[in-house]
Amino acid sequence: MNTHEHIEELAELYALGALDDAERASVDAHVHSCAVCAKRLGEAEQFIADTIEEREPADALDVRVRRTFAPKRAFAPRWGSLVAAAFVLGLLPGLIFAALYHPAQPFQADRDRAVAAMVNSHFLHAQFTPLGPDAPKAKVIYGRSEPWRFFVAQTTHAYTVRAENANGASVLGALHVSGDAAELFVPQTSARSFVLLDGARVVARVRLP
Amino acid sequence: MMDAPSSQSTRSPDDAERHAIEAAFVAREPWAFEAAYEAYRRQLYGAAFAVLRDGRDAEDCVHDVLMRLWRHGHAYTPARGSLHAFLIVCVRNDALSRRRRDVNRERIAREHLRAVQHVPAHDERATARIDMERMLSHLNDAQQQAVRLAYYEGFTHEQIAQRLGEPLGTVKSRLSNALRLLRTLLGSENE
Repeated sequence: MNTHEHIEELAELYALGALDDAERASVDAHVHSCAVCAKRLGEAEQFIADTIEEREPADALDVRVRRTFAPKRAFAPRWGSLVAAAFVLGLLPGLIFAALYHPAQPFQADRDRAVAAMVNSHFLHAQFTPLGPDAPKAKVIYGRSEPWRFFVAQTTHAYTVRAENANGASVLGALHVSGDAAELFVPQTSARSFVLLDGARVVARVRLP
Repeated sequence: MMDAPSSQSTRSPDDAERHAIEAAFVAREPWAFEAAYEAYRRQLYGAAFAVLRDGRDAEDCVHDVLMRLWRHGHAYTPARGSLHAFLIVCVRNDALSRRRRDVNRERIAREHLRAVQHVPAHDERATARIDMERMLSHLNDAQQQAVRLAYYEGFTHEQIAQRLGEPLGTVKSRLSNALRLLRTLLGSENE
């Protein structure tokens, strides 16, 4: 097939997986510059995509993908035992110190409550996935069996935190900023999916496992 | 660097988010590949696992496809439709190519697919939007046979023609017509 011919029935064969590598490359080259064939191929692909059964991948794949596409981020994609230990040994004492020796502002009040929650329960953590080039580095720390959530971000912007579930979405509040850090403590929510909003724009998303 | 969607957009946030990811994916911005994975990770892994039947191989397939599309370019354009469908078919086709390169694994996978295609696991089938087995029942015997050989067993159209002893053009037309008929039937059911 040359690039001037339409792909015709090859669109359906491509989507079904009935073409070899060279034939697929030829179709790809054509549809890149032919909107008519791109549409036909896309429709066939959508049908096949909808026949696929979902399956939960292992955490290892999540980590690999995040490492590949976010190699320059300071935070690890998911806290392993080493990073978790560093958190407990480093950040938590810092939070306790800050809670004891700094005046209570909204930011500080969040820290005070987060420290109390973390000291009195087991907690886990998950990293926000950026949805734009300006997304901040952010995590949510959450009680393993308690309903509190503590959102922390490296930013000077008071992003809004919104919870999402099958029934809709609800705003939990705005991050409280202090210096180049921002935090929000939410004492009780059953939600497990959250986004950071800049106005109406979603800049990052996280889903608790 | 691609801008994220404007807060003034009239589309719903989810639509704006999806379009931002698609636009950045076309521009091959790394964050878009991570975001696309996060959005479709269960379907991508499911597509690879259905063909390879091995968790580690399926993980390699999904990761390697994303990395190849990022580093070496891809043929996705918004004219093609959803990025979701494009990526799933990319992963599935790559998995089929891997299986064809590994004769032994291909045999094992085919045996597995033969075993499951008529008695699908209920929990797995429940997660697919389209029940392929049910849709296939709308086709005539020749069409069913050709589509099964391609979809379930991973044969190329040349291999199918050889196996059936029929002209290549006949098999290509049969596969194409069958899939278009299924799409039409599905559209009628959804109206």
